[in-house]
Amino acid sequence: MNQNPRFDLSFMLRHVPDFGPAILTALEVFIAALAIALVVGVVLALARVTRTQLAWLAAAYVEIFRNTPLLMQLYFIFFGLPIAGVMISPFVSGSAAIGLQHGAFFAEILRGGIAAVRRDQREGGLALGMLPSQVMRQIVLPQALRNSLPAAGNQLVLLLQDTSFVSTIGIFEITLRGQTIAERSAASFEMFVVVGAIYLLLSAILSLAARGLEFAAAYAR
Amino acid sequence: MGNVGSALPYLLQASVMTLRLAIVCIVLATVIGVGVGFLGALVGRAAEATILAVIYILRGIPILAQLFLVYFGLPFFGIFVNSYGVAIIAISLNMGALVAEIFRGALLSLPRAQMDAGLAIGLRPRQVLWKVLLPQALVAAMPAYVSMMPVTIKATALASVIGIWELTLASKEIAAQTLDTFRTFGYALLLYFMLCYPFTLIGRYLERRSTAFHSS
Repeated sequence: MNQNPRFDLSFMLRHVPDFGPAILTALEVFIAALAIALVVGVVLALARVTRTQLAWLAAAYVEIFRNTPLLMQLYFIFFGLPIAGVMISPFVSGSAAIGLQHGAFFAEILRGGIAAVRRDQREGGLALGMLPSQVMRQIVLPQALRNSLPAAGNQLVLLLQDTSFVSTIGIFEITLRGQTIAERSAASFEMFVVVGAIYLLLSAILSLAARGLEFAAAYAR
Repeated sequence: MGNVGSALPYLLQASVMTLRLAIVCIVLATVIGVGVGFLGALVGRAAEATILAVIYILRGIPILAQLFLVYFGLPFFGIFVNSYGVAIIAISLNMGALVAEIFRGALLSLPRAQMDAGLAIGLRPRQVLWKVLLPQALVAAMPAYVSMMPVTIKATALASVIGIWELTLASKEIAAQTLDTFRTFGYALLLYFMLCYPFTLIGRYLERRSTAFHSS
């Protein structure tokens, strides 16, 4: 029984530097997953606004990825695909799983952004004699991206947090590092306070950056 | 040994467990979230700031890290619960913060005129709140609230990490036995989809109905 819980602050502070490489790894996963998510998101959103078979496929993709847990997608990609002959490293599987899932979310956000562009913008472009593809690229998409920024900023923070999932396939990012230090010490709780604090700090920095981007985009007209 | 097909009843049983876990968590999250979400909008500034800070912390830390925080944190404070308790507390708190945000948002999105009109016909501020604002906020929050159910079901997958037997852990067991990870996790994905999708559809239906109502 832990009668007198004593919060071991010195132990906690001593181990903070141990998280350096883990934070870098988490950021690597974050950037790789973000790159995948942005590409997937833009492609899906564009596919969904075309009125072709592609729209249907893109919709199915979004539904499947939004209605299944990321953990299970990760297991499927990392443990399941090798059976089908596709061998991928933990880093690639982890980033791919996160990126593919968040791609579905980014697609929904961008689709909302496209829908929010006023109809007369499109009509104006067409009236000037632009091709539909030109109207999309030069008129609708830039505005849609700007419309999507606030929601995309929130999604960025969620994506950062989801990098913790790759701890389950043995990538030494922040959560797994915390777990290993916690397991070989008596100060497990303290370690996860550190882990929590690191994530909070990273989330705060990221949302500030996203807010900054939003302002920059708003004034860059 | 054996093939994955014969393990399907086992996975179905585990899906029921997942659903039960999700229902317990959503009920607790609703109690926490509605309480906190509405209280936050009612009580004084200091209490509201505290509530917002707690929501911020809960939303800023990954749910997996929160699971471990609760797992190690409760014994630290001399509270001993089994892994089920830990999983339920951690997931409910996290989802509670989300529910609180939804209900707070709904309450704050109501036009100011509602409050003014209520006061103008002679209701007390408290009456305006209970009889005018809250019923409307509940209706406005419904679509987002129903969409919380798939989010909660997906979150329960993490309980497997601390050894709770539900769909994810059961499928890991089957995968280890049959070595057919591809099919096992494929089936598990399908089962999760079947659990989540109905709620997604209901949420979307409610969403459509409410926007149709507001734009008419």
